[in-house]
Amino acid sequence: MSPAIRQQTRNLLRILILGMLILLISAAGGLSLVWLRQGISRSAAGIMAKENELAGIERTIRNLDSRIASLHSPEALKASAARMELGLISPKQAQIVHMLPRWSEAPARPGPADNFMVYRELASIDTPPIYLK
Amino acid sequence: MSKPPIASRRPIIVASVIILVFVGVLSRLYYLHVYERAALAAIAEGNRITFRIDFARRGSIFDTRGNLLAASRTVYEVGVDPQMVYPGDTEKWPALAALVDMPIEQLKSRMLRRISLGGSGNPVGISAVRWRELADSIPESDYEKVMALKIKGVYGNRKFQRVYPGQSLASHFIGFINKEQNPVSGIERYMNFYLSGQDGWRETERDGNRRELAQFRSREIEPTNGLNVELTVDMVVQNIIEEELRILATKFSPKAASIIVSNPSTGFILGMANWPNFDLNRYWKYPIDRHRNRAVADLYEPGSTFKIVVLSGALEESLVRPETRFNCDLNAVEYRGRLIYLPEDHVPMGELTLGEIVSKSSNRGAAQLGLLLGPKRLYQYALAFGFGAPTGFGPGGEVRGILHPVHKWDNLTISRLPVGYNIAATPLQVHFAMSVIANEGVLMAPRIVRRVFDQEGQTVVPFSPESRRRAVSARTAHTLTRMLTRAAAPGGTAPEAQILGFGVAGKTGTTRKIIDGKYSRDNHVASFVGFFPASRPRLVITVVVDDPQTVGPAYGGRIAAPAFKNIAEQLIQYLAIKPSGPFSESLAMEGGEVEQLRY
Repeated sequence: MSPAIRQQTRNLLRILILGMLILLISAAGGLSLVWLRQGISRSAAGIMAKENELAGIERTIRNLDSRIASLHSPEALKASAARMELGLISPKQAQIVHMLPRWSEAPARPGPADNFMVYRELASIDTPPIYLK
Repeated sequence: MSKPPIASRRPIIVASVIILVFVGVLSRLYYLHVYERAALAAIAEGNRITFRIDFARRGSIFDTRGNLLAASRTVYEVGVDPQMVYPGDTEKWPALAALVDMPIEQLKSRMLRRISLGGSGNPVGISAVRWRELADSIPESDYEKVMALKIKGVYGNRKFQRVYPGQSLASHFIGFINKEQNPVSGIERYMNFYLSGQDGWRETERDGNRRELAQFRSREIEPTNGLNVELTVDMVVQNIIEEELRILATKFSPKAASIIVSNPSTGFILGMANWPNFDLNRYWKYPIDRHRNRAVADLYEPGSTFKIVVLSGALEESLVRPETRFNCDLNAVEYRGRLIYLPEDHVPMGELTLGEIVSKSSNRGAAQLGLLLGPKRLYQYALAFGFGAPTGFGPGGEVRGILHPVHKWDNLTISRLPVGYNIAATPLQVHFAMSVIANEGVLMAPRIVRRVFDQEGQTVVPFSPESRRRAVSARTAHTLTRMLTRAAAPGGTAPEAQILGFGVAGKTGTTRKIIDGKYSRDNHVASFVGFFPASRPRLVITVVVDDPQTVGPAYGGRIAAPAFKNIAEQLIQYLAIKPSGPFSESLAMEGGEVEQLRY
C-alpha cells in the first residue's frame, strides 16, 4: 500500500472515529438529559406526594382539633356526666372555706389580677365561711 | 409492437393520486398549523396548562383560655358525572347511598339522569349533565370510604367548612359564615379582615389523565392562612350564664333574656348571652329573630337601674350629701313655677336618706334628685355614663339607644328620666353604666377581642383596655358603691343577691312595658345590675329578663337578683375570687335631718 493511500485510509478512519465519538457523545448527552428530566419528574412527584401527605396530616390534625373541642364543650361534658351517672354537682358557696394569704404572702400592692391568682380553698366542709386573718 | 396506452398512463395516475393525497395532507396541515393555529393552540394549552387556586384556611376563634370556639375543617362535596356511570357498579350503590346519607331511590335517580331539560343558555333545551351533587359535605374519613368503592364517575371536591364546637354557645357574638363562605355577623364578620387569609394560586401542566405534572409548575404563590382571634370571653363563664338563662327560661317563660359578665377595670367581656339562642352549625334552621344579639340590639327602659346616674350626678355636683333626707311621701313638688307630679312608689316610704333612696329604690326620691340636678346636668350625666351613644361593641348589631336632647323634653321628662323612663338603652349600655361605679368613675369601652395572633401564637394585633372618659370622681363612685351594697342586703330591694362574705353592690330595675301605647301593669322588664366584691370589684353582672311570666309584678329583685347570685357564686369558685369580708357601713346609712331643698 502506497503511503498516500495509507494516509488517506488513516484520515478516513479518524473521521469515522470522530463521527462515532460525536454520535456517542450526542447519544450519551441525550440519554443524560432524559435521565435528568426523569429525575426531575420523580423528585417533583415525590415532593408533591410529600406535600399532599403533609396537607393530609394537617387536615387530620385540624379535624381532630375540632372533634376534641366538640367533646370538650360544656354541653358534651354535661351529657357525658349524665350518661355515666356520675352525679357531679358544683360545691355550694357555704361548703367552701376561704383562707386569705398571710400578711407576708399578700401582694405588696393589690392589683386587678390578685383575686384570680392567690386563692386556696377547702371544699366539702358544710359550714359557713370562716375567714382566717 | 407498441405498448397499450393504459399501461403508459398508470404511473401518471398513481403519481397524481399520491401528489393529490400529499397536497390534501399539506393543505390540512397548513389549515391546522397556520390558519387555525391560534384557536387550536389555545385549546391545546388550555388542556395542558391549568391554573389552580389554593384556598387559604380561615383562622380560628379561641376563648381567653385557648378553647376552640370556631374552626375550619376540610370536608368533601361528593357528586357524580352521569355520563361516566358504569352499569357494572350498580351493586355498590347501596353502600354509596349509606355513606352519603341518601335514600337509594334518590341516588339511583341522580346517577342515571344523564340529560337536563331546559336551561336559560341552551336554546335546544337539552344538555348533558356532567355533575350531580350527592352530598354537600362529608368528612374526609367518609370520603375515603366513598373512593374505596371505586364507582366510576363518582368523585368529590375538597372545601372548607366552618364548625362551631360549642354549637349554641356564644352564638350571638361569634356569628357565622354562610354557605357562600361570607361572614354574616358577630366576630366572624368583625374580624373577617384578619380571619380570612389570602388565597394562593399555582400555574402548572397536567397529563392526559388530568393529573398534575409537578415538574412543570411554572408559577406558584402559597396561600396565607388566616390569623387566629382570641376573645376576652371565657367558655366556662359563658356556659354558666347560658345555663342560668335556661333556668330563667324554664321558670318564667320570658320573651327574651340577656346576661352580661365583664371585668370593670378593663372592660373585658367574660360572657354575654341571650335567650333564645341558636345553633351556629345549623343557623338556617332557626328564625332570624333568634340571631339577634339582644344584649346590644334590643332597647328597653332601664327603670331604677338608671337611678345610679342621677344619684352620681347629685353627689358629684355636691347638691346633696349621703345623709341628706328626702320626703318621699310628696306626690308633687313645685319646680320653676309649675307643679310637677312625682312618679309613684309601690308603697309609701316616708323620709329617706340618699342611701335609703337607693336601697329601697324610691322613685319619688330619685325624681326629686333629678329636679335638683336640672335637665341640662341630668342629660350630661346620662351621656357621660354612656347612654344615648353606642358603647363601641365591635361585633356590630349595636343600637345607640334613645336619649332625647333637653330641648325635646316634655314637662314630665325631668321627673321620669331619673327613674329610668323616657329613655331607652341596651343591656350593654346599662351594664357599662354600672361599670363606671365599679371602676372608680371611669367609663371603659367594651372589649371582646383580646388579640389577633398567628399560627406560631405570636401576637399580631393586641387589643388593650380603653378608657373612654371619667364620668364621676372616684370619691363619688365609692360613696355610691356603699349605697348600692345596701340594695343587695336585707331591707334592700334585692336581698336575694347577697353573697355571704362578698360585698355585693347592685341595683334592681322593674320597668313596665308599653303595650298598645300604654304602660302595662302586667308586663315588665325585670333586671339586676351589680358587681362584687364591693371593696375591690372584680366582676360586673347584668341580668335582664323581658316579660317574665309570674304571679304579681315581676320585680327585678325577685326575678333577676337570684340569677345574679347563682352566677356570682359559681364565678367565685371558678375564678377563685377571694372574699372581701363585710363591707364597712358608712354614714350614708346613718341618716340626718331633712333639709330644705331648692330645685
